[in-house]
Amino acid sequence: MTANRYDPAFPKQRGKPWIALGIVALTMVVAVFANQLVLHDPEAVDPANALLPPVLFEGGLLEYPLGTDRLGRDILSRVMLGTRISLSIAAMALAFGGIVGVVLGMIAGYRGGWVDVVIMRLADSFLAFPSVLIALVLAVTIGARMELVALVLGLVLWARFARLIRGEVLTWKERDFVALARVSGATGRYIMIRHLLPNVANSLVVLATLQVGWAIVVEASLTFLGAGVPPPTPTWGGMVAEGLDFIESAWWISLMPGIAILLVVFAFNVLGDWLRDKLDPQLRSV
Amino acid sequence: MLRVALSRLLQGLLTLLMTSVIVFVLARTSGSPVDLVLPSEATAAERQAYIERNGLDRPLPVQYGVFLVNALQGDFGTSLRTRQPALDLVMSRLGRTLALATLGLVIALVVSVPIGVLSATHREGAWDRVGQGFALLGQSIPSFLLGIVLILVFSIHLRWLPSSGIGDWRNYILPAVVLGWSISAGIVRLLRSSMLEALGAEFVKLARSKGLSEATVVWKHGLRNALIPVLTFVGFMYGVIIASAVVVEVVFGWPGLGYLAYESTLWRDFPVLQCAVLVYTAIIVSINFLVDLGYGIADPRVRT
Repeated sequence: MTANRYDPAFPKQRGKPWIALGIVALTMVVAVFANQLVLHDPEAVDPANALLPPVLFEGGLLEYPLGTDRLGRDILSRVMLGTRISLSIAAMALAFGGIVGVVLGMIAGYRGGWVDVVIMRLADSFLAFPSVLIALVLAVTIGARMELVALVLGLVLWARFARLIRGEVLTWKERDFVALARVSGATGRYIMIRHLLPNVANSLVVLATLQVGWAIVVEASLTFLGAGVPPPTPTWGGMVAEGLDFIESAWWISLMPGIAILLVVFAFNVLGDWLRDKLDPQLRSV
Repeated sequence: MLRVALSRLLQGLLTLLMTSVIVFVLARTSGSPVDLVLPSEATAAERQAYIERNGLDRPLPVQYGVFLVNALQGDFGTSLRTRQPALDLVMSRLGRTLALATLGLVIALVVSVPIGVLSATHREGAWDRVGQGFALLGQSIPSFLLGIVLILVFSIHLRWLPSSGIGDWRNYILPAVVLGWSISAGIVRLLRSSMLEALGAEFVKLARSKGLSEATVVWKHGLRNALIPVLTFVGFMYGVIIASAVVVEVVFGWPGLGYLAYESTLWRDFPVLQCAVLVYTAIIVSINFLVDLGYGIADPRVRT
C-alpha cells in the first residue's frame, strides 16, 4: 500500500539542515564566549569613528566590520554581546515555562478529572495573556531585569508546554506498559517520571526548539520598546530602536542587529521543523 | 450550546481576572502605589485622601476589591501627564488600532489562504516550497524589522508611501502589511495541514469519484472544510495582531492604543498604561468569545 500523498504524517525525508545547525552552534559559542571574542569593548565610545558604515561600503573600516553607531561603538561587538542576553533570556524562559508546563501537563493528563479541567482552563487563560503589555507594566512598576523578562515569557510558554504534554500523556497512559506498571504497584509519580516522561521527550525537544525563536523575537520586541533589559547593556532590540532615528543616513545601526535576530530565529525554526519531521511527524500543531 | 458559551465566557473572564491580578500585584510590589498613580508634586493631603479613598491602608485583598470595583465602573484614575481620565484617553485611541488590525487581518487572509491551499495541493512541489519558505520567514522576521525594511524601501528610497503618522489611506498600507505578516505564517501552516487532512477525507474521494473537476474538489469541498480550524484560530490571531500592534505602531508612529501604551511606559504614566492593558485584554477576550460563539453556530458538531 502506498502512503496517501496528502497524508501529513509522511513528510518527505529531508537532508540535515547544516546551515541552520552551523548558525545555532555559532550562536551558542558567541553567547558563551562573547567577552573573549569581541574586537572592541562594546561600550567604548569613539567619537572620531562615529556612524561608520560596514566594511564593504564606502568609508567603512576593517576595524569595524559591521560599522559603528552614533557614539562610535562597534556594532559587531555589541551584536555579539546582545547574543548572550537574548539567548540567556530565551534559555531562562524555556527552563521556567518548560518545567512548569511539563509538570502541570503531566499531572493534568495523568490524573484527569477536575485536576485536568482546572489546569487546562488555567493554561488556556494564559495563552491569551498579553505578554508584551505586561512586560511594559513590569518596566514601569518594578523595572525590567533579565530574570523578570524571562518570567513574563515563561508565563505564556508554560501553557504551550502543558497543552502539548497533556495531549501526549493522554495517548501514552492507555498503553499496556503503563497499566502493567500500575498493577505492579508503581506510584503515579514513578509512572510519570519513569514511563511517561521518556515517551514525551521527543515532542518536548521539538517544541522547545521551536519556541526559542518565539522567545528571542518577543524579547527583542520588548527591548525595542524599552521594556526589556535597559541600556547601556547592548541588546538586539535596543540597538534596533537606537538606530531608528538614523534610519535614513545610517541604516546599519538598526539593520545589523535586526539581521542577527533574523538569522538566529530562522536557524532555530529550521532546526525545529527538521527535528519535528525526524522525531515526531505526528506533531503538527506546534 | 449554552454550556459551551458559558464555559467560554468564564474562560475569558478568567484571563481578564488573571491579567488584572498581575497588574495589581506588580503595582503593589513596586513600592507605594501612591507614587505610581499621583503626580510627584501632589501634596501630603492629596496623598492621604488617595490612600483613604482606595483603602491603601487596608489588607491587600480589600485593596484588590476596590481596584476591581473602580475598574468595572470605568474609573482607572487620571493620566499623570494630561490629567484626563485614563479610560477616555484609551477609548479615543482604540478605533485606530482596531482599524489597522482589521485591515492587517484581511491582508493576511487574502495572501495566506491561496498559499496555504496551493502548498497542500502541490505537496512537496514548487508551491509547497514557496509556502514553507513563506511560513518560515514569517515566523523568523520580527515585525519591527520588517517595518524598518519596508520604510527603507518604500518611504526612503522609492518615496511611494509615508513612513509615519496618520493622514490618508496611504498611511495604512505599510503598518497593515506588517501586522498581516505577523500572522500569515500561522495561517499558511495551519491551512496547509488542515487542507491535507480534508483532501484525504472520504467526502473528497466521493466528490472526485462523482467526476467533479479538481478545482471544485479543492476550492469548494476541500477548502470549505479546511477553513474551519483556521477560522477558530482567527480570534486568537486577532489577539496576536493587536498585541504586535504595540511594536508596529511605534515603528510607524501610528497614534493608536499600542502607541499610547508605549508612551505611557516612557512617561511612567501608570494609570493610562494599566487601563490600556486591561482594555486590550478585554478586547482580545471578547473577540475570542465571539469567534467561539460564531463557530458553535456555524458548526453543529461543536454544540454538545
